[in-house]
Amino acid sequence: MQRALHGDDDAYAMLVREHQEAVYRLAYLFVGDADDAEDVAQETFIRAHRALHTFDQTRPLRPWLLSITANISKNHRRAAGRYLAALKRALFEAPPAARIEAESARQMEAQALWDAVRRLNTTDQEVIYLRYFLELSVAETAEVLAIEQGTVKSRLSRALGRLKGVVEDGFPQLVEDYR
Amino acid sequence: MTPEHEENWEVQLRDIARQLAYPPTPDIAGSVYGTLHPRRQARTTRLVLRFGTMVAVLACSLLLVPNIRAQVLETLRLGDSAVRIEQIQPTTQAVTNPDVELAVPDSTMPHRSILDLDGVATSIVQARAIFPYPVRLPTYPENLGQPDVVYVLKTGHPYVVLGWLNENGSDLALSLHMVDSDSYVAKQFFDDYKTETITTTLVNEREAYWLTKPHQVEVYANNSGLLDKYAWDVINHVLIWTAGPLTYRLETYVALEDAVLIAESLQ
Repeated sequence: MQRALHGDDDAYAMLVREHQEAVYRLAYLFVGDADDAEDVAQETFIRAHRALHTFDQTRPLRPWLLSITANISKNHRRAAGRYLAALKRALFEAPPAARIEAESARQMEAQALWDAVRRLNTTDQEVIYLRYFLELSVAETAEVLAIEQGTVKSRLSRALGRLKGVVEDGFPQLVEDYR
Repeated sequence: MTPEHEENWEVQLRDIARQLAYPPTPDIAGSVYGTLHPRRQARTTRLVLRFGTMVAVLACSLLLVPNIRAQVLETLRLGDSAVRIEQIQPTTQAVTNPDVELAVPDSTMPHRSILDLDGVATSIVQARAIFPYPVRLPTYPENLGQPDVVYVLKTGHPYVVLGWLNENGSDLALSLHMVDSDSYVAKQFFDDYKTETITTTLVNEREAYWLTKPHQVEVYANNSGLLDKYAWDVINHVLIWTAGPLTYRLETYVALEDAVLIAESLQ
């Protein structure tokens, strides 16, 4: 971190390598497209590089990076209807036969869950992605969202309630899981 | 939902979410590095140009004096790493092998092999400890396995060579070399191969060079004032490409298509 702060690009590349998977996955969850997620992830690390001198080094790096990712992702999918196009692809287009064969029943279930989450508002999606898909702790989630841990819990509770409604309405295959 | 119900739903949710199949994470570090680096290089280049112009004027003046000229030339030769690639006369025809069996053709051609380099053999564990970047291995062909030999050449930046022996262990069937792209050695490889290469290709959608002409490679390294020279003959083919902060070269007998598959299989 110190080396990266002093302009060592190799050191920064190592930091990127350490966190790129979490950043890329959060971007993918938000934008729903592999290429767009790669763009968002790159943008995240370039912006972080520019702002590295402002980062409080006493705090963990990952939540800071993920908060940048979430912001860029939200802006990205607002732009030019890309999100709607990706969502439409995800919801209405049949996946390739090879993919169906390769995916286990659990993966199909996970895909259905993701589709259900994507019908929620952005605030609900964000907290669910961080807590359940990326498996961040409540404390880390609070860091990313810049809110208190208690607020994370109440926000999660409300989001779970709304997700339950979405699942009951449109994803019967998931209903068994919360009964 | 009751708290108990909600807790149960949370557990289930996390369990299902964990199964989501994400696309493989691309090499973000490499592309970010590539984006950041040209900017820094441009800034550095401007400073170096200004300083270099002054030095060049001074040096030209000094070189007019014969004694000084001789001393300066000798010092310059010993003061840096360098790579020299010279053509050698082939006495055997390197062959391609579509089955990706890493066999070396039966050749009586005497040549200096990387295996003959002294004092640079180490283990993959040691190489990983020395090398500041991940030492990635090819996963293609599937049966390739771990390298039989590992070398670290002490150039200004560590230069790692992973080698896989042929069936009778007499020579390398394949070797993978990696070095920081900022190193003088890497830059020199590219500069020399650009002029020599007939074929350009793509590795992970980035330009790469493919050389099939036998040649010799000399890499100089100045270690604490002592000049080491590492030299070997290349009688097979060479694929050279960059990925992230590294420059790779693959010396191999397989055909270009397979060499690219090997290059793209690094993990």
